[in-house]
Amino acid sequence: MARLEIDSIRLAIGENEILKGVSLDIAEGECVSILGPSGCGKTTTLRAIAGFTTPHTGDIRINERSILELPPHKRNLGLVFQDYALFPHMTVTENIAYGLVMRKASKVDIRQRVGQILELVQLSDLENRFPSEMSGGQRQRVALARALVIHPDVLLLDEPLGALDRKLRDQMQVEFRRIQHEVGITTIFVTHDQEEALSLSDRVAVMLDGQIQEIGAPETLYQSPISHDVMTFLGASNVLTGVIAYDENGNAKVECDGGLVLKVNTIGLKNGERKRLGIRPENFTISSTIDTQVPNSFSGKIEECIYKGAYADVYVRVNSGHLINVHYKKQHGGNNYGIAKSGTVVIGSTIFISVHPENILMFT
Amino acid sequence: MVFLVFPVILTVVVSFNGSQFIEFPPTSFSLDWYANISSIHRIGSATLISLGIGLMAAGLATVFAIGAALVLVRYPLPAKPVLTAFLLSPVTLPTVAIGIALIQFFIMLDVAFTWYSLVFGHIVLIVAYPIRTIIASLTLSDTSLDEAAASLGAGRLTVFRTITLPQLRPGLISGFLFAFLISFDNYPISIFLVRGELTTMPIEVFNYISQNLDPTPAAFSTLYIVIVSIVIMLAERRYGIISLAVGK
Repeated sequence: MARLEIDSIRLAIGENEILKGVSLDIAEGECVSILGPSGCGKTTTLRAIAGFTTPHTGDIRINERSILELPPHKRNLGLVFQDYALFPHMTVTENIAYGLVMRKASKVDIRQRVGQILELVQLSDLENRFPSEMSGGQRQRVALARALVIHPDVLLLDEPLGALDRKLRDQMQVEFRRIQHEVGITTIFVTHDQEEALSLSDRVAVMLDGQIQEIGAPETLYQSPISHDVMTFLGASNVLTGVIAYDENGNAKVECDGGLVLKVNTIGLKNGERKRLGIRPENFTISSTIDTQVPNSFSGKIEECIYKGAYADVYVRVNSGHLINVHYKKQHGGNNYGIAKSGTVVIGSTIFISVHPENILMFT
Repeated sequence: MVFLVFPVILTVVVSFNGSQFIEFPPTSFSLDWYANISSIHRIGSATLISLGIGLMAAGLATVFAIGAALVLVRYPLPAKPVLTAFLLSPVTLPTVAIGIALIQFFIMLDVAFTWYSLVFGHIVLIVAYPIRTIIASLTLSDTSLDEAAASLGAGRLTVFRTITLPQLRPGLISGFLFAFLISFDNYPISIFLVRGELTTMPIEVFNYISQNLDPTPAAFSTLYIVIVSIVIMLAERRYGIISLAVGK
């Protein structure tokens, strides 16, 4: 168990600055993910922690002690690689025992700890298999077991579920969370998969272009991001720009380009200020009739409708000319707006959408 | 294919021919020429010397090749293509030229016509083959395995011994095997480097052919082909060496 501090590390390869001052403070037992698109520097950050690459400035500390001077094999970190990196010439048991052998553990101790960890990842019956004889999900578990069995200070995972198919990934997410809670180890993992980051970690650090843009609990980060870039990167959103205007009653509105006017929450807005807005598709409500009681309700024409299973992505062309993406979920027992040939959500038909002022995110 | 296979078939068929001369198609059957193999001058000791030289040269060449290949593949070096070409160059030079150069070099060093100069000469000739196969193995091997081992607490040497080396096994085995086979039946370099008692199998076989016209060398060659084929087949089945030697 350990606290991991990454203190403004910078790293450049030639002219190309890959890490532009990355700082991250991870508490004991916390699970933090670094989420970002490929090439943002997240894997380089992980490799710097592991010791495979050295930052030019800054420091990395575990329990207040710098680890930068230590070679990789003395850092006591557990690593799970994207491709698992299981040793192909060793059995499951030999793979998992490798780190214990390096630590000169006794045979009895090794057997006992390997047995325990196999039980934890539920692979007890496969101990004599070779990696080539196992499925992706099983290999993933072996890789996790191999990293955990050495009782590392920090567990590092590189795209841990990236190579698995969808269904297996969902299973492993639950599994991974269970193991992480059971072991209670300080964990940091990098991923480009938002769902993975949001569902697996206590906090998510969004990394864009060599810098941590924002860090926070998954919900906070998704529902109310501070940074516009994080908002557009995380999930889908409708992006608008407009100018703040107050009406005679002191209510704030945003007059968007194209004549769309949205009521917004008033707090801390200056008259005439130009703002960027973001509205999540799931925060829109669809209705077949206009409800004058509801603020920000406007009509539009359905241009496209893409069925996604749990919901449908509906694209509505509103009168201002904006194409708004709205998630449509069939309400239980409610009006039948079914994605059917007939009904409200039909391409070409007119519809009313509304959004609550609270759900409009605003950025400078 | 015909050109590849025909000499082999011819050799095998002729070795069972009853005739005094190498003739095709054969007229009668006999195993006499197999019994006659021992009449090739010093064939036993020459074969043993070839075997010893071949094993030693191939072994040393393979060890050297491990180092060379590791440097060429894993480390950032300037002029890598030049270095690679240089190390592989013996393959492209005429072997006779290498032979002449080597003997002059050895005479200068005053070590000519010794068994170790013969071993050294063969190393020069064959080292390109293990370098080639080990480079292929290394290129296929995954560096994240080495990193995984390091993260689990293995120092550099331990990583090499327990992780890298086992990955290289197909390359090592095929490289060693090709190096050995090329050394074992090399004539043009050995002819410059041997004298007196120090003689190799191909030289004695060639001497025999130049003085006799009977199919005894064909019988010897047939035995040789059979043994080599079995060794290669076993190695291929076990380690899949052919794909490595050919390259991917």
